[in-house]
Amino acid sequence: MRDDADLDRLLADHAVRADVDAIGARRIRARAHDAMHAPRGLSFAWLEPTLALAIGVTQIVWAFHAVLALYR
Amino acid sequence: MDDDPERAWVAGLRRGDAWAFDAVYETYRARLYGYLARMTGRRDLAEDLLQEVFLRLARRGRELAADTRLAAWLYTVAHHLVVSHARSAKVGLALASELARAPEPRAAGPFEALAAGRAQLAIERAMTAMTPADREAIWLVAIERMSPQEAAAVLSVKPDAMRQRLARARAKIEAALDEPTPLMRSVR
Repeated sequence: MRDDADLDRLLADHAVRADVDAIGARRIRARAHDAMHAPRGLSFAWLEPTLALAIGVTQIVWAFHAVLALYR
Repeated sequence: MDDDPERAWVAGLRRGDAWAFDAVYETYRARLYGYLARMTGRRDLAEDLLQEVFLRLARRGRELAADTRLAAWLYTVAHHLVVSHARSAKVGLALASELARAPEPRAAGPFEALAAGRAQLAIERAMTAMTPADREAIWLVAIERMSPQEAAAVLSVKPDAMRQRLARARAKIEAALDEPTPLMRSVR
C-alpha cells in the first residue's frame, strides 16, 4: 500500500516529459515578444465605470429634487 | 539579482523586460504543454493553447502584482482556456458543466506511445483513465508541487472537492501500478 506522497512522487517521476517542437517553441516566443513590444492601443476600460457612476449620481440628484418638490 | 528567481522574473515582466519573459517561458513551457496536451488529448491543440497562455503573459505582464505566483497565474489562464475550449467544442472534454463525469471509453492518451517502461505506461494510462477534473487536480499537486489549497484556488473549487478529486486520481494510479502486465496476465 503506497501513501499519497509515494503516489504523487511516482506520478512526477514517471509522467512522460514532452515539449513543443523547436520550431513551434521559437514561433510562440517570437509572437509573444512582438506582443510585449506592440504599442498599446487606446483603452476604454475607464468608460463603463465612469458612465455607471454618472448615471447613479444623476439618479440620486433627481430623487433628492423629487423629494424636495414633494415637501415644498 | 533576487534570491527568489520568480520575484525577479515578475519584476522584469512588470517592466516589460524580454529576458524575464524568456526565463518564464523556458521554465514553464514544457510543463504547461504537458498539462494542456493531457487535458485536451491533442498535441496540436495543446500547442495553440500554449501560445495563447504566453501571449496573455506577454500582454499583461506589466499589470502583474509584485507578489504574483507565476505557476498559479499561468495554470489559471491555462485552465480557463481549456474550459473555454471544451465549452465551445462541446465534444471530447466535458470540463465545462460535466466536470466530474466518467471519462470517454478508453482511448489512448497523447503520450502513451512515448512511454518507455511499465511504470511510465501505467502512469500515462492512469491519467488517461481519470476524469479531466481529477487529472488536472493531481497534475497541479504532484507535478507542480502546489498545495491542495493552492490547486483548489487555481481551479476555483472548494477544498473538499479538491480532496475528493485527489483521492480518486491517486486510486487510479494505485490501481494502474498494481495491474498485472500482459505477460503476467497470460501466465495466470
